[in-house]
Amino acid sequence: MTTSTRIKANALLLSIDGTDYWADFSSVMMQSEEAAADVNTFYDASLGGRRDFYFTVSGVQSTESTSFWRSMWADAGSEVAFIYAPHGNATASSDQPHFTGTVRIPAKGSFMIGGEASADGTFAFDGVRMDIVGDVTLDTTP
Amino acid sequence: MIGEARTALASILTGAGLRVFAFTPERATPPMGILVPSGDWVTSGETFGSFRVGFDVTLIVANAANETMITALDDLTDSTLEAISDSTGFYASSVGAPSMLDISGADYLSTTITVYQNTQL
Repeated sequence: MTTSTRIKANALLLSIDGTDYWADFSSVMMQSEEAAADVNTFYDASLGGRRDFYFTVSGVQSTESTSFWRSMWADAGSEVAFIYAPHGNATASSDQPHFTGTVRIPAKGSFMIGGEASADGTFAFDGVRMDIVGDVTLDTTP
Repeated sequence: MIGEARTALASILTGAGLRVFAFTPERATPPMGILVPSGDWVTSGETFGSFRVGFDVTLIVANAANETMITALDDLTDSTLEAISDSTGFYASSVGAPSMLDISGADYLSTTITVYQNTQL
């Protein structure tokens, strides 16, 4: 086979509760780990064990009313739908799918506000975990 | 993106009472500031899809006695830094040591402030 087309790291789509906040992020990763507490059913075991998905996100701090930071502050604790497109494409396709599911907004204060003094720097939050509720669906339907 | 940053920066400095040229003028009429692209003109930014556009603001003061020239450049640099600090979206990265700048055969005391803005396409 020839080498597979890689995903360029200069675009992204992460829509949370209907709003795409991609431009506020410097890093977004979605992955899973072994589930914490739930009972493993035979079905779970057949899939390699029960898994919990989560996002790890880093981005800029902004108190603008339309920013990701403000949205997380306002909706802390709620569970909302997300659409994640690593390619940044608005419409899913077979080669550039979307991942969809439900994410739980972390408690207030999870996304830090403030930082170190700097003459020309800006404040950012780094490596905040956002747990995904239930399964993640890989969507290739345009 | 680049043109907008250039115009916005010129507007901010003009608004603060500085004589600023967004493009290099034919002749020097100090005291004045000139915007020119910085060494790293456009670089990738901190977030997805963002870019950092940099400009060098060259500040030039009129020829006079040494003390007068140096004091004038100090004041001009202070005013410029204050205007950039008060603005939204622009950051002063560094200020070069004063040096003599040759414009059309005449030497003027000048310094360069590197300013950048995070922007998107």
